[in-house]
Amino acid sequence: MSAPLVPLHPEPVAGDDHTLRWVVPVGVLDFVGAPREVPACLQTLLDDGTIEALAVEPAAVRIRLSAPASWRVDGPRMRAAVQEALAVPEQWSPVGNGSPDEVLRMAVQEVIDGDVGAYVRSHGGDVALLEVHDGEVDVRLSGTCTHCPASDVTLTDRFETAVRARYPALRAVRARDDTAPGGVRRLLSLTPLRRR
Amino acid sequence: MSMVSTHLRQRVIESYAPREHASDAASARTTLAELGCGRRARIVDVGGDADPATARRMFDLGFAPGVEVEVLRRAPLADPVIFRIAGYEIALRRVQARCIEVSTPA
Amino acid sequence: MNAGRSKSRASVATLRAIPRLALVGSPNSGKTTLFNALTGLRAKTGNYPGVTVARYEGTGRVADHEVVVEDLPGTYSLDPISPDEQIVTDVLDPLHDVDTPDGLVVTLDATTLRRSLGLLSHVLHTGLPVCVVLTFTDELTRRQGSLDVDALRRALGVPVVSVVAGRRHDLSELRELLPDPQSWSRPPVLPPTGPSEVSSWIASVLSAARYVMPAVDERTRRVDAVLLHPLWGTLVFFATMFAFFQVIFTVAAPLQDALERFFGYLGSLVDAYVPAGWLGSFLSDALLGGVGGVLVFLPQIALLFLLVSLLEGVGYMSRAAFLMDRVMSKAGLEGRAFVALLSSLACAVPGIMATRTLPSARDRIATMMAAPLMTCSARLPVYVLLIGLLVEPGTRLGPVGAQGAVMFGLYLLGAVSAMVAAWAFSRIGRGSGPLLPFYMEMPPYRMPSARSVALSVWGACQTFLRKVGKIILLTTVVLWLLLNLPARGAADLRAAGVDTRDDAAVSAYVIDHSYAADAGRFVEPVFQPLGFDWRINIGVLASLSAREVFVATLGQVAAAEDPDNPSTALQDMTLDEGPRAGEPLFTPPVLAALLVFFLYALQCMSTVGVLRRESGSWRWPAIAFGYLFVLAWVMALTARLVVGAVT
Repeated sequence: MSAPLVPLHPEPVAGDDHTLRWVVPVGVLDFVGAPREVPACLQTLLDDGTIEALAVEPAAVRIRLSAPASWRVDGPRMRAAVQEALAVPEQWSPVGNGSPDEVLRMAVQEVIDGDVGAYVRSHGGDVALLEVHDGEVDVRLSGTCTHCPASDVTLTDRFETAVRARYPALRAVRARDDTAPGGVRRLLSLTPLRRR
Repeated sequence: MSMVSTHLRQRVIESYAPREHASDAASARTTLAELGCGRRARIVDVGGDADPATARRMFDLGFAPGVEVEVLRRAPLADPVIFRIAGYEIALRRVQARCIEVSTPA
Repeated sequence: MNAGRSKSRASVATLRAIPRLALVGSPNSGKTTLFNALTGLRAKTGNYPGVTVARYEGTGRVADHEVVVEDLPGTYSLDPISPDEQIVTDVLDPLHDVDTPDGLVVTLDATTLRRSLGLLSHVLHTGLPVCVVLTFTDELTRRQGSLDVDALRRALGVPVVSVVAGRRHDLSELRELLPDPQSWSRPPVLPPTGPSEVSSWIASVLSAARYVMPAVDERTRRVDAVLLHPLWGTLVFFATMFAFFQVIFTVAAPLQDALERFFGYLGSLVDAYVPAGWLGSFLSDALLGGVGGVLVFLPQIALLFLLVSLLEGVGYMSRAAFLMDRVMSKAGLEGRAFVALLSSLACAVPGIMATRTLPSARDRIATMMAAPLMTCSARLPVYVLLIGLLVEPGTRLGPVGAQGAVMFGLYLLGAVSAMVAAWAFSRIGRGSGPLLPFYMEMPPYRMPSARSVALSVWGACQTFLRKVGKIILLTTVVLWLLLNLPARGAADLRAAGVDTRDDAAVSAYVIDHSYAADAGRFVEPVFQPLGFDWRINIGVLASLSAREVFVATLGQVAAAEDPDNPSTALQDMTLDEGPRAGEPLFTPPVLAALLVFFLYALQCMSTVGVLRRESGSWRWPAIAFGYLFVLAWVMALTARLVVGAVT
């Protein structure tokens, strides 16, 4: 008899063969950043030096192996350890306060560093995180982007969807226009329209 | 026998035990063969006392413990039966359907 | 791998400069459509050594490179439970004799991605470079499903190309990838194999790719409500099968007649321009007759494969199999075998070729062994002649004509015997092993591509001509030689007192003194208990090229004026030797024995040839010929004794 396992798969990190992001469902671990405490199966691997670094992201556990360990050889063992550790989320604890806003801040940063940010930059614009407070996010749009009529709908929609995928409790995303400092250009839904 | 199949042959399919309502008194256990048309159920166990190779194949076809299955229709002579599982439709003979244990909401 | 160990060493693929790719995928995943798109007419069919599994291989031109593409049998898993699936794992195993591909192209049906990822997880464990081709993404969208291909690519760690059938643009992306499998990205960690872990992996990959499962296909649901309805579905099934049978039986007939007339015309040209005699007769009867005897099958084969690939491509074949499964399972077969057996009512040659649609090798063999028992159209002239001699026209059995009743009885006996034979062979094939589980996917109704249908028809005709044509041609020539040698000059004939101006008398004399006649006398002891004399034996021997030849040969033996309609001459034939000399030869018991003999015996070298082709070795045709001969002899003897006792 077994309970269903937590969904889990690895994704490579560009330019770093030693690091993998083990993608896990949002909310399994309720904090982000380096953990203070992890279940024994992972702690052993940290202790014996197989794992060099381990960090929790909003929808992944990022693990860096130290040579000579390699994912090709040690992958199956690592998967088993991560899978086992995810079955006992209560045995994980964060270094910091691990507040929800911290999870959200990292989620936003991930989105800015990821696809959506890359899309903005490819169009000559930029997006930066200003503030996270009580599930609300303020970002600054700059460059040519701000004048693009598409930015209103497409960009903020994509941005919000991507953040919410990593942090379902997101309440709102506010985009500030840096040409008018402090002026809120558009206020997005205060209550989430789409719930998972 | 290739390495891959040797490896795959060692698989054992464990039955499904949901964490929250492990022994839900409201649900009834039966097999797929007993289920009427239009009924839905959740797969609990695949194989039972059937041949392990058959159980592994049923798993590879999507009959995995924990997955929801729906009975669509029976052939004119009551056998085989078409099921919807994992988003597609597949016909099984009763012999095979009998190997798949399900729990139905009462 | 040892050089020279593999059977296909000699193929172009061994020039290592040409990359070798194998297509892996579940049935209905668009694998063969992709194969056709990549290779087109440059595909050829063979067999894997030692098994009844067809091997499809072709070369594809990709940019400036050539690649060899192999279409592996469709499979749901690399944990094999049948010989067909064993082939797939063998090909993918570098330690096995068969040529290992340099890269694997896995076709995943986007509408059944949850199930298909399981197969992909197995394939990734082979360690070979893998590239994923997503098919039916257009159907996914139509059914309100969705998928992020880039995210899927990241989650799987291998190249993922989405290909919609018929869109040339999609293929070009794939073509760029194909020549260099070594450059394909590989997953950093292989997927797990444990069932729970694999379920977790699949769930995670699907969620990362933001997969939304397609809604139930409304079109398929509505069509199935009729086609799988207990009453309407059954009616539609029988109507479809009736139409199917009509097409290969009656539509093919005029085409076959035209071919025969054309070859008759060619023969008459030969007669007109080649001086009469042995050479002219050889050219027109043996060679042209042989070529015509090969080509005459083409209309049926082409029509059969047209219909089968249409029904298969649309998705009706699975439905027909579903409706017939219960009936066919009594014979140890599955529903799909019905189509092959039905086609055999027209001719066993296309019928045996239709067994390709059966997924299991054991079922294919059992169906092939049973197919020759179905009453084919070539038996009709023989039955008509012999029943005419056996039963007075106008005789009635109650409300029905006796001749028709006997004919119906023969059809029925053939069908029942075929089912029993199929059951026996499937039983033997299973041995003591466990029963293979039966499962059959019901794919949504889809439009088959005209290209795939055309290639399937073309492929079947081409293989038949290349592989089976030789055998038929050779048999025809050999039999002609047996029947006409030693050559008789005009002097020989005059010396024997034959009127050389009487064609019937001449051919009777030649046959009566031919090697075939010697053979007929030689085998007389074997057929003695059945009441056949050496003249009937000549007919039986000659009918090996085609059953209907029996009629004409007996006509020649009997020196009938019209060899194609020799009943009167035959009725007057008497035993010419032995204690009962002078008594009529064709007594009811002998006629019954002959009828039953023709029902069972594999008197058809074309069938033997096609059995050789489809089963991949001479073993099964030899077994078929042997078992059917013994069966024919025993049943004919029984018929003779029973009829002898009754009359």
